[in-house]
Amino acid sequence: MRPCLSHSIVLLITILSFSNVTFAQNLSLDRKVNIHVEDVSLEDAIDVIRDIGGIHFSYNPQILDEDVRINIKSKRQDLRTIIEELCIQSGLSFEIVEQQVILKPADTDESISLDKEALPDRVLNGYIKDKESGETLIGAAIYFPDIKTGTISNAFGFFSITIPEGNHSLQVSYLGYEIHKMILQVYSDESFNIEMTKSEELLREVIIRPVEESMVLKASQMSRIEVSSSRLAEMPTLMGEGDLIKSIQSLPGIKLHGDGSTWFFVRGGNRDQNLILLDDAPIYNPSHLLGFFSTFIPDAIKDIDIYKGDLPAGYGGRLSSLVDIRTNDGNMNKFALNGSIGLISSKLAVEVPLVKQKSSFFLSTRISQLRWFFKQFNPDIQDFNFYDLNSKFNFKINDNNRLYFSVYSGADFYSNVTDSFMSSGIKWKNNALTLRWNHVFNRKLFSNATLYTSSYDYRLYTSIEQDYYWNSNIDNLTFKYDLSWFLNPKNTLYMGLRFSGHNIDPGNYYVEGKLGTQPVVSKKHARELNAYVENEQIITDKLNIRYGLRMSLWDNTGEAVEFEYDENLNPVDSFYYAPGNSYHHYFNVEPRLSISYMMSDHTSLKLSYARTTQYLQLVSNSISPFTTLDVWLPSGPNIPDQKADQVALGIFHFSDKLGLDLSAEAYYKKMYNQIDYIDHAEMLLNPYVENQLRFGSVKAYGMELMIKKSEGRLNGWIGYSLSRAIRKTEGINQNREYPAFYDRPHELTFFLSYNISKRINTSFNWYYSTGAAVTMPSSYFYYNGLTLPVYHEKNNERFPDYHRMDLSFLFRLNRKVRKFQHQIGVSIYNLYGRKNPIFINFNKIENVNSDFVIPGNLIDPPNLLTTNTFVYNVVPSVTYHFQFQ
Amino acid sequence: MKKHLFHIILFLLFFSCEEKIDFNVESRETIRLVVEGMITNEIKAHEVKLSLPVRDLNENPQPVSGAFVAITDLQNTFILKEDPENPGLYLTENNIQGVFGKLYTLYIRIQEYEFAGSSYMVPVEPLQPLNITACDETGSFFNVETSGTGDPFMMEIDYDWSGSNYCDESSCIAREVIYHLNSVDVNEIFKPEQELVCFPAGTMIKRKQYSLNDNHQNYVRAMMNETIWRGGLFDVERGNIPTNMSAGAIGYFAASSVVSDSIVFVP
Repeated sequence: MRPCLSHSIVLLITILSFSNVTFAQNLSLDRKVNIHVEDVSLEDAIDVIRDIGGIHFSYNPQILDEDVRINIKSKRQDLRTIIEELCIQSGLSFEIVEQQVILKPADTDESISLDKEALPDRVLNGYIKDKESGETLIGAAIYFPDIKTGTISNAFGFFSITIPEGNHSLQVSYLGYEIHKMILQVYSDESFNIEMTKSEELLREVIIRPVEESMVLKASQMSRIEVSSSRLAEMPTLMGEGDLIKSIQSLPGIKLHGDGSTWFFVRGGNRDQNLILLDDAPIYNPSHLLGFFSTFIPDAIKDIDIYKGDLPAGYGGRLSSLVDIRTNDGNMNKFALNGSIGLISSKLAVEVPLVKQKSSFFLSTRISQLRWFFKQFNPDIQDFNFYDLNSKFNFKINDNNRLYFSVYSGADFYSNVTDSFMSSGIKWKNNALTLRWNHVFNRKLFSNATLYTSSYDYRLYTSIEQDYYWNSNIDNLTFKYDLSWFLNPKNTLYMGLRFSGHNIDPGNYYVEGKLGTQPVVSKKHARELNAYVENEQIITDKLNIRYGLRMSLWDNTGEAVEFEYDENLNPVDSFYYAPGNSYHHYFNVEPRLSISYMMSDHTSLKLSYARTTQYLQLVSNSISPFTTLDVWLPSGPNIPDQKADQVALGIFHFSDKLGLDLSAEAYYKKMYNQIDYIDHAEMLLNPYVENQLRFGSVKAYGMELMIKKSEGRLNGWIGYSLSRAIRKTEGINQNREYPAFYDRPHELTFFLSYNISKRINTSFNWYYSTGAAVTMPSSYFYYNGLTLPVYHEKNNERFPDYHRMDLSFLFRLNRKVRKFQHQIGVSIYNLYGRKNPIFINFNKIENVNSDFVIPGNLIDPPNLLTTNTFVYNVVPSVTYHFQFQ
Repeated sequence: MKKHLFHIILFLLFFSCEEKIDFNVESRETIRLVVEGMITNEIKAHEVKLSLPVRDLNENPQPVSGAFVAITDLQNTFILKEDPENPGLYLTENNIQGVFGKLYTLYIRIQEYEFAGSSYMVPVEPLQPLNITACDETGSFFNVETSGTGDPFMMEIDYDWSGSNYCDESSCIAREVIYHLNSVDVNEIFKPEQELVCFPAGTMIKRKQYSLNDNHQNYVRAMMNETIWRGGLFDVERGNIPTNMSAGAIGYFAASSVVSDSIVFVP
């Protein structure tokens, strides 16, 4: 195969009846012209190019496809590029014969094309990369317009596609990059890499990517949203901290817990039902500063895929969503440095090519500067900090083997002096470590072996000096092996195995690292085995189907103590299991199915069904948006496995004229064995915590609408969702149905980004939702001077509606692209100062300092007030970013 | 430790605010008997208060009069009579004393409705020395530090500085109720700020410490969840407070051992 920019004939048996044949002298295709055609026929486009370019075309009118519409916007581009663009859009090719441009079908050998089915298939494979940094690009569209076939690069930038032998035009597109076009002569199986150039065209009104969009439309995958790191950088920030989790909360169907929180809820699922993967390793608590910021450094992120349902069979373990985050590999070609200084933290990232084009190292850190800030207010504070560290080493052993080793570590520390000799505090830490080996067995078979471990550790110190603390933690060690088999042009098979070990300490009190005298809550251990197989099949040009099965085997093992409870949930017996002894297991089969039908070139209808299972749950009756003393517990003899069935139907349309994606999805989801809590459940240091839980079901249904414009001077999205999440649990709310806390029927989101000039960008974000469902007293009684509430129903009222507007500006300080680039970001979070409640209470009085406090003096009945606690007022911020390479 | 962990949320306070709002909750008329009764090991007239819930915050409760009320330990039965000056307040004779180790049952009959609840006495921890600190920087006012150790208890503290120069017409007495429980709750650790009860030198301080049995402690814990611990930044789900009364009545009938003392505070 020889990639080329213009077509050269290898074998030509052409029978052409020429029309429009005139001869010109000194034909040059290097001349630069401006041409603007939009949604015109091929013939009209040829006429425009002929008139403006002063060149002459020869072609058989029968080869012109009347249905093809041409869009070309070129400013001072050479005629050769323009004609190549015309050919790509029309599936034609051209050659120059005697001062004229001869247009013909891309496959020029008519005798062969008449018998296309007989042509042998050839396999093309390789990687899609950023030209400048060598970074692989995930989800790039590789498309052959002439044969209307394409594929998408996988999570490692790898692609494999089988096409018939012959000459083909190729178009590769990726958001934020120039469309890459080539004409290929394919006469053998080939491996090659495609390097793409970042787009500098910030001010174009419309950049149309019909190819990419049509591939997304055609794919059976639905309920998935991709967020690029560049989009993250544009979004308004809180205190200058770009935040992945807060950004995805502005997508329809994803509901935020409340201000100051990184918790989110997807399609009626609880907050622990979202699987957040960082380079494949799960992150259990993605928050800093009790939830104000998420743990992910935006500069370290390459790509984010969010699945609200229709989970591929390769993923599982949570019921509701998957947030799949891939970090940067590091610049393979040259040294790069970037960083930022904000009010809360400073960041620095360095990319070092160890061996050019072969190996690189990426390191990104974020360190907060809060300690200094708070010490000014309170000298007793010893520590008040958080940090993150992302690091990745990647090594290309050869064309068929690559290694990736990534590390994440993030922690929060707080401590303050409690008396002359003692200090207390909080510390939590997330760690993740991933080792991956990509191996290409052959052009059709790609494998990825991953070994990862991740952990979350939470400590509440009562005395740092004496090492007294309450501690809960969870960790896993996992090996998984995934195969992608690009079987033939119509079938791609995915299969894999995963084996995990889990260790959980649900929370105990320790003295100098040893269990203290408080009640001991048994630690838990489990093994998990998953296997999956899934096929993506093209049935016809219009019908795609993806079907798969995932199997999971969960096995509780010792050392552990389990309790047996009677019908009133009183503990009646206990069982000790020795280390390694298996004592309880669950086996589940999770079918996955999705179908897509192209109703027209621009519209598709999709249907999906997925069963998901979850064996790990966050057990907490907290209603706070902030991270509290959370405890994870595994399924076992007293906690059943959670399951969910979700059916979704969607219609998707891409308007190439406007560059808009329009989507409407409706879903129905039923979840089983969903955890709720008895009134005033005792969750901490309770060995019998399982008898504080009740299990029920949740039904969730809704509709999500979205209009999205991915590129152009003005871009962004508008989303709306209408949804319900209703719970029913025996023993809760008199066994009646009740809305979940995150049941918020209406949600409206706007995100718009506008490039005012090449150097100034502004973004606007507005989020509205119905208020959260909360339990409020319907009457009161008095006891020993206190006013006590009486509740008639669970979640019987709602908070006032939530809404918030954010605005940001990004000023690029360089006039031209230079080695050193810098910019200033200005953000105003909660622009109009909406006081969105996180709590509404009825038990406080106003003291002489105008603070709201719990009454202390009970000599007379206090005059209690209704108060609203909110997190943010207007929060302005400024951040300085720099980049050097 | 609990108090000092307040600083953990300093960052949040930097952002967060609280304000008074008008928030209309759909209230309901609740026709349930509210019982507040206790028998102790003191020789006195023991009280049981009967009332009805109120629909709105700060509303005066309606007393329940005309009830037949009795406390029994199976061997002895004490009939309580309604105080003519305080409708809804029922009193035993003034020479009744509860005894440690006995199970006491409160019996109430109102027309054809009958309610009952039982409780038993457990020993009470001895009173610990008072820990008094300055309330403000002037050093003129003081408050009692409210931490506790050992078995759970409830402590009522009455303050009286009517003989002091600081006494004005409006505030020369105060009453504080302190609870010490054995449970561990995150919302207790991060509970909201409570009004300090400050008093001047020369104040008469009377303390009464009541024992809490396990069931009573559960009741108090739930009560704390809904009152003194509610409103911090780590709140837990709301829920109804349990009761030991039958037939849909709410409130609690307690049996407690009591120790008491009184001092005149001189710094």
